[in-house]
Amino acid sequence: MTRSGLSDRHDVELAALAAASDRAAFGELVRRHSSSVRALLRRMGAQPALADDIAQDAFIVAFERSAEFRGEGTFSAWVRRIAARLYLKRRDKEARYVSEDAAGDEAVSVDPLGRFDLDAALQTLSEVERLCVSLGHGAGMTHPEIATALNLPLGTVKSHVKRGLDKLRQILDPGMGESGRASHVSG
Amino acid sequence: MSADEFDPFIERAFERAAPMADTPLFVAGVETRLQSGARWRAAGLGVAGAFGGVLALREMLSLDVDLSGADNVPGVQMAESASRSVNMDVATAIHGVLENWGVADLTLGGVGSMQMFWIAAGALVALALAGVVRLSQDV
Repeated sequence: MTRSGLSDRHDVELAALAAASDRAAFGELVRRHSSSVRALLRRMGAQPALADDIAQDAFIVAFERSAEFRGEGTFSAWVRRIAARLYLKRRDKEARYVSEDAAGDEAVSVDPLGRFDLDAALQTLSEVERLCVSLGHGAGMTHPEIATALNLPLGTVKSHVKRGLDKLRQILDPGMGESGRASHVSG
Repeated sequence: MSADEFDPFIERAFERAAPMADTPLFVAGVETRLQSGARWRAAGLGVAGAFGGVLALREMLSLDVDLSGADNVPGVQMAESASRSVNMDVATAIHGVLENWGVADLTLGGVGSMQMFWIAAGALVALALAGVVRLSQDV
């Protein structure tokens, strides 16, 4: 199948083709979603070279398991979840522990169109907050899954997610009250 | 932005990522690794198939049809002798091919065919289990 024919196909169709060992179809999926997968890994704290290495591993795993993708969520989210788990596994091998040190205080602003720079905003979070928020909101993991993956108590994970989101919300909407923030932590 | 809108907003922000300039290079890297994996699998299957084929041919050389219990049935003796003749022809032909390949006199030490079969089966099961364990650890 030509590449132009593939570019019109939905992710679910391409995944079905990939499950039948159509590497061209899978290449189209990689082309579409590699940026968000690589960006997630960098946001989680991986150096660019390591992020790319793990992102490639994640896509290889996704290709081998593409028959399991049924389209319940987005393909991108599915691969990001695989990539996040591979990254955590790599961290475990390297015996890296998450730091709770506060991160930089660079000013991050929202542009006039309401867009804000997530990468820059995440830099204002501590390493563990950034990791918890990225795993929850970037990789779609639940709090208990994050707690297991990071070997942290569930309550601690919830606190890190809440604090991290509060900081992001402050950047996005400095005027937002404490009550609005407190009501927004999900389990 | 209300509190209820914030979570989906952040999730969408994670979903969106500016296209990276080196995306074609990254895609090419993944495709290369996929091709390389496919080549290794094909090579492994080819070697396993060739090994199995050689073993099967060796076994065919010693194939013998036992019809001793049906000696009195009319036509059986004729069929038996025809079968032996065909068997000999096939065996000779196969032996010739194996000689050309240099494996006609392949010996497996003191290991018999059934032992070879169980060793190969055990190795395949071990390989499959290792694959399952690795996959479960990866994801």
